[in-house]
Amino acid sequence: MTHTKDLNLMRTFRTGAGGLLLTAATLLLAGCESGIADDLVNVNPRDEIAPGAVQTADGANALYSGAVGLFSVSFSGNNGGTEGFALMSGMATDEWMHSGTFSTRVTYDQRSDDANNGTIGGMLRNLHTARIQALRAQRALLVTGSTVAGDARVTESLALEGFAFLMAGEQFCAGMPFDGLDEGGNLVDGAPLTTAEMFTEAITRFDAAIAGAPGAGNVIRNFATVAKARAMMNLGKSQFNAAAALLANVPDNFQYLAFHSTNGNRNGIFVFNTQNERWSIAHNEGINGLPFRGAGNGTDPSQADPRVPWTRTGGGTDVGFDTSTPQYDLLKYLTFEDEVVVASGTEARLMEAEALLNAGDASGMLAKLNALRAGVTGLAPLTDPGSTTAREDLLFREKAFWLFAEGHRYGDLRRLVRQYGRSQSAVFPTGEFFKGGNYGTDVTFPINVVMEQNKLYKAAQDAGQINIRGCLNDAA
Amino acid sequence: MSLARFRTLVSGGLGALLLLFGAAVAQAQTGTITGTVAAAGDVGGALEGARVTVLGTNNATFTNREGAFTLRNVNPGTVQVRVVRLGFDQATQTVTVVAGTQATVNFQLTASPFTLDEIVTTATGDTRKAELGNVVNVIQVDDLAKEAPIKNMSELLVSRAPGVTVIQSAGTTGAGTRIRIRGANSVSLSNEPLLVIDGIRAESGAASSTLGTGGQSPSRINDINPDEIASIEIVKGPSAAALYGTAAANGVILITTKRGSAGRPRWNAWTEQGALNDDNDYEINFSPLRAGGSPGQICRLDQVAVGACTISQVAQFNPFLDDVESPLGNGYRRQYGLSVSGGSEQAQYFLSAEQEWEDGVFDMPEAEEARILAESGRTRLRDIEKTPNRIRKTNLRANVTAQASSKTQVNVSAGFIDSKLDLPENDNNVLGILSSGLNGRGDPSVGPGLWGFFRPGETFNSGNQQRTRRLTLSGQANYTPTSWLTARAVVGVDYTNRVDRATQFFGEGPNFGTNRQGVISENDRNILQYSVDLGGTATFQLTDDITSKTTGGAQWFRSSFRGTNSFGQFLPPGSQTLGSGSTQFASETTTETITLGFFGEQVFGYKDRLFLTGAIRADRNSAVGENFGVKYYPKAAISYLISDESWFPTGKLLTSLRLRGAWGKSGLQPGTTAALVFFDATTAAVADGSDAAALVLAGLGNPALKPETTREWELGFDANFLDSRVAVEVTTFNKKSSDALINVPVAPSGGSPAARFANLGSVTNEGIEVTLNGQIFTGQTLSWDATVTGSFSRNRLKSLGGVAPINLNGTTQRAVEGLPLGGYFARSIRPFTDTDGDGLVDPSEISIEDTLSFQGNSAPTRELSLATGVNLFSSKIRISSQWDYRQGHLLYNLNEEFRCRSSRNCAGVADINSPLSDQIRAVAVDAGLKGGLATNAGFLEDAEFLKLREVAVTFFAPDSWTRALRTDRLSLTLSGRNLWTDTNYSGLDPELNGQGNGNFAIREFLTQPPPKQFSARLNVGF
Repeated sequence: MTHTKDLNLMRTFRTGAGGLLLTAATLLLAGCESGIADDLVNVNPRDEIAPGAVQTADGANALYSGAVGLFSVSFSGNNGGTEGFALMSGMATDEWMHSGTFSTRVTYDQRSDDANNGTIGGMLRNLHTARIQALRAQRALLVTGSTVAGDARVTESLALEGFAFLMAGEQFCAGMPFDGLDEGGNLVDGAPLTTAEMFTEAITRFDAAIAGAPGAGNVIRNFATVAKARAMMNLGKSQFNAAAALLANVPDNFQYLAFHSTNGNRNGIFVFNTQNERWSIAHNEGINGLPFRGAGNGTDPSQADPRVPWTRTGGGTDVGFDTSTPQYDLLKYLTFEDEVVVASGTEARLMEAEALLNAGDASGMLAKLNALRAGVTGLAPLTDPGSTTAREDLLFREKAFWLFAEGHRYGDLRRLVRQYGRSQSAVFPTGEFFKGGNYGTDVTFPINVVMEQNKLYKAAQDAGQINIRGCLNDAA
Repeated sequence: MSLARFRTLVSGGLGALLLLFGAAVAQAQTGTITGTVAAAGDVGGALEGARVTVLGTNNATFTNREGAFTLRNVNPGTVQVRVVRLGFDQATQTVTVVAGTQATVNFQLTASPFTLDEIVTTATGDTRKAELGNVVNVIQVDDLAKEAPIKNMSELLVSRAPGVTVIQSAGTTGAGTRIRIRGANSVSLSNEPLLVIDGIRAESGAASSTLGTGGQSPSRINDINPDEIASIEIVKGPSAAALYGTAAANGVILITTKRGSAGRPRWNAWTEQGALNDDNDYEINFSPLRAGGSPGQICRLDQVAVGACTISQVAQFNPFLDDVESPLGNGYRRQYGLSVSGGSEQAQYFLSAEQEWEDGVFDMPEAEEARILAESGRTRLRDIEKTPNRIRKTNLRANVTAQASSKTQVNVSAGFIDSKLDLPENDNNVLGILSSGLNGRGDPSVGPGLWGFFRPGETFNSGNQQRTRRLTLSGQANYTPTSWLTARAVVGVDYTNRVDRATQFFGEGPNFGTNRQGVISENDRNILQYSVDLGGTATFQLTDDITSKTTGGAQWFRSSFRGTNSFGQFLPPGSQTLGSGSTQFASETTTETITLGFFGEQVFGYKDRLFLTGAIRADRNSAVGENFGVKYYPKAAISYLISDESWFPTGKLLTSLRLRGAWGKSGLQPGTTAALVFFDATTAAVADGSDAAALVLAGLGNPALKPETTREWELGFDANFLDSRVAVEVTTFNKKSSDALINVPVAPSGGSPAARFANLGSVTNEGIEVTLNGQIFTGQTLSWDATVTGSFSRNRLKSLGGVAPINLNGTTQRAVEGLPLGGYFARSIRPFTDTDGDGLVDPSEISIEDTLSFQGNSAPTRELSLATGVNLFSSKIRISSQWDYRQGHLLYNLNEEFRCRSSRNCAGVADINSPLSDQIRAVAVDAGLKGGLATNAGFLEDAEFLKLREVAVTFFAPDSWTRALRTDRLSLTLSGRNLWTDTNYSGLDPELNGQGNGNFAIREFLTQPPPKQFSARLNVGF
């Protein structure tokens, strides 16, 4: 009997089924052992990098690089998906017209938007992504041995964080919340801020950056200083003189740049304008728009203002992505890698000029403006137009040309309404929209509906404080 | 704690396996039963493929072509032998078996159109359908594939089973499909069912492509060749699928491929030749030319309404109907196949090979070809430029079944697919041919002219090719050491290698961005699904009345997805290689998921009419998190053949009745790293043109994550009436997903990542499914049969766990508590009054609600299909058709919205004869006309439809012909598909989805509608 059993067992093993049963038994035996079952379900994902990697000096440096890169994306746009602060500022005003087909871009060019606009929502998220990354970079650098005072990466991250508050304050309506990070790096909901609070928060961070970046020639110090002055100018005319005073030591040739590369974050302005042809340079857009394409009807590139050089390819017949809007390409940025100016000595001089005008020193303002113009061949000196309103127009016109496509126009038009008593229909594009219909009355970007996931914002909404555009208020 | 319980379970499983070994060596002398099975009465003839079972044991076999069977290793004594075959009543006879001898028993089965004795596949092995407490829909594919115009799995599955919704994404050759069984369970995880082929898990990705061709993504389920399939069983929900474990919450599609049977080689050859024709009603492009305006200036109806201008002429053009301009031609379809099956009692084989060619309906207009050649200086266009949509596919299969010993049977299945698919540009894509055709103008002077963006000569140039090579290999061993015990082992791998390559060479194609400077992308994907399934079943006759079947086993599944992406841009003239690009990128992606599960099932049968089932499965999964321990999925079911009770009043009217009920749980896991905080590596420019390595946060993580659980109960009955000429199957179900894994959006104020998984809320699906099969008339000359399937379903998001509504497709489709998942939302247009009575819509006459409100379902809630056939002249001719009706849902007609809002070429903008409703929606969607408050509500249209999907006529050659031609069988089928649609939906087709096969997103946007398809198929058996 025993012998028979052995034979049967051997036959069993000779069959494939016997082998598989043995495999099963082995698997189950293995499963009984502590850890073997874990091994059987263990995977090693290759894509993800554990948090420990950023708790080293090298990891913190990589976070800092990420912060710089993400800021560049939020400022000048990415590789064609989402535009940045500078592009949106120009599209919602008179710098650019939309030569694409996306309805979400048509509507903000048309100044007729709501909280459901996913394109604006994407830009909004990019802005906060850059800000939170800058905050994480600061934290990581500080815990791995850096100090605010001794490390330009920390002060630059502080300034970039502040700049996000500044961008939000200039473009979005009141009510924007800004999440923070707790000790463990987890997000903490922020409460909706008024427009003034956003600028104040920006100034707090610029001050910290300035304090940590001593030395007159320090690029980060100059960046934080110009940005702080810009935030102060946004807070009201009462701060103009103080803002101008800050700028005295900022040299004319100072520039803080958003960098780009072909393989990393490309120059979004070049991508959206010249490459993808969705942004086209406007000319007298919507009655109030400035003639950015130069003298005449804006069809002759030889008459272009040297500060806004442009071309129209195809022998002057090129049309945009929508195949109907004339396509005018800006020659300020010629490659994916061209830098975009974020803050500069030119901007500093223009703010000083505005402060002088505000102080009643028209000749001082003209001198500032003409000093800038003297550095560019083809720009004749300006003369005093005579009236306060005309001087204001002249100043803002000059600023618009000097800082074309650098993200200033929306904030400036809003200030014309808020600080200079102009009506929105007198400064923003208005009347019949070139793609059909009419321009709306928006003077801010709405806050995307997804912001409802922020509990403090939702509470304000539930309390009836948030309007249909997602704003505490959407005045200029 | 949970791990300890898991180990206990493992120990139990080990004990069971050791028991199998013990049994293997503890057998006694046995006998053999042989016999034949034939059809009774006029039908006559041997019955192949009948399942013969010794009751109360696992000892079972199938009859061969001569209807003969042999049951070995039968324990001595008096046993009952049962024969079950589709289309016949079961039969049972008592046989006395003497050790070491052979007993003989022969059966004659009575034809019965519908019985409850069908054999189906379950997680624990083959089982009589009558013993299951849940409904399983079986599609017998063999005849369908031969006699209906079915070219892929999508067409095979659509409207064949109640509660199974198949949504075709486009009419493009090679486009995929979305499949939902009993609705969508999950807000954020996949709702696609699990696919099992010959016992192993298989890849069924619904949007399997990285090509930028919009929603026309292929689905991997369509790789499978219907001609290789014997049957498909659809296991609908957790009440049935619990033992399939994690990932089975969305149901399971079980495919069994064909197998050989003993006998001489039986050859089958077939060829199909067909044509595709697109005669859909493409919208006309209008241009309302402005009276007194400059050339190309238009005057919209809303401008006319306010007196801003007048129209001098409404120019019209339809490029799809123009003899010179039309990019549409006739598609052509060819298929050639050959299979052979046969073998001995020891080994049987099935071998099959098939080649398929299909050219879609896009065809380069001759004038365009001449223009491109003249402009480019080339002497000829590439084939792909002339016909940008085509598929070339080869399917090979080799299945072998061997009786390795008297106790061991081994099945090996191997299927290989080589597919080359060329896809055109379409959908949300400026390079698409529909994009340009539907957004052109009615007059060449207006805007871009007759074509919206690019002409066919340019759009057809972009090459988008997917090459797929797929090997599905499985081996199954069944070991029956004693009559009461069977052990089985299944191992296998489904390996898919997919290469997506998109090209636009230097100086060619659309002048879009920098594309004409040359761009190539090539993305390689390797997708592997490994399966190991080990189990054993012990069957006992506990008493004369009570049987017991105990099954235990273990399963290990590994899903691996690895891919590399490469990109080359700015190519030199003439170059066709990635490496020649002056700008190059590379990246990679990997995903891996493993599930280890153990299961046990106990079934008690009482007098062969009452069956009680209890089962449990324990799963571990590779998902990482504090709460990802062992997950248990229990199941219970009851089936009661009440009509077998002596007291039950059966008769001619009510032939049989079965009551059934089932309850069970299943689950879904998130991605492996969903619980973890992690960073991604990237590059960032930190100085002039200089890149630095950078890290950015990519996963917020949630350590508290646990699996999503779906529980379901179902109740139903199966009844046969009128001498089993009519069969009714009714099931009501209720399904609820708890701890729903929701990818909750992070407020933009927190930056990216934009969402994080959390266990929140719940989703319910409930409904009723009905199948009605009837032999309406049966006669020698004429017979008529019909199958009606219908379902009603109700999907609700019960809770979102306190988070704000989630956008699933912008704000147009949302997840809102108390409403269907993915429902459509918009600001409603208030009732309109044409106050000035001018028949035109003045923007001031329109008023729009301030807030979004629910507009309707995006998935049908009521479905009804009819498949009916008539056999003529002793079944020498069969005429069949399939009708499909769906109701209760909307479809977003973004086509028309875009035409009205952006291209200004729709009737509502231009045609003074257009109905007010068209004008209203065109004005309401234009934010510029409504002071920033716009709505797309007018373009969310009722998508109710009735379709005649299939018509087929099959001629079966008379015996004299087949004898003369020395063949066994000869048939010719003439068929048509997509023949007629009745709907009020104003778009191209109410089933289109320009967003492909995503989880919820659905809209028609520049999507190719299904063409009519006509084919002739010749089948020859010899």
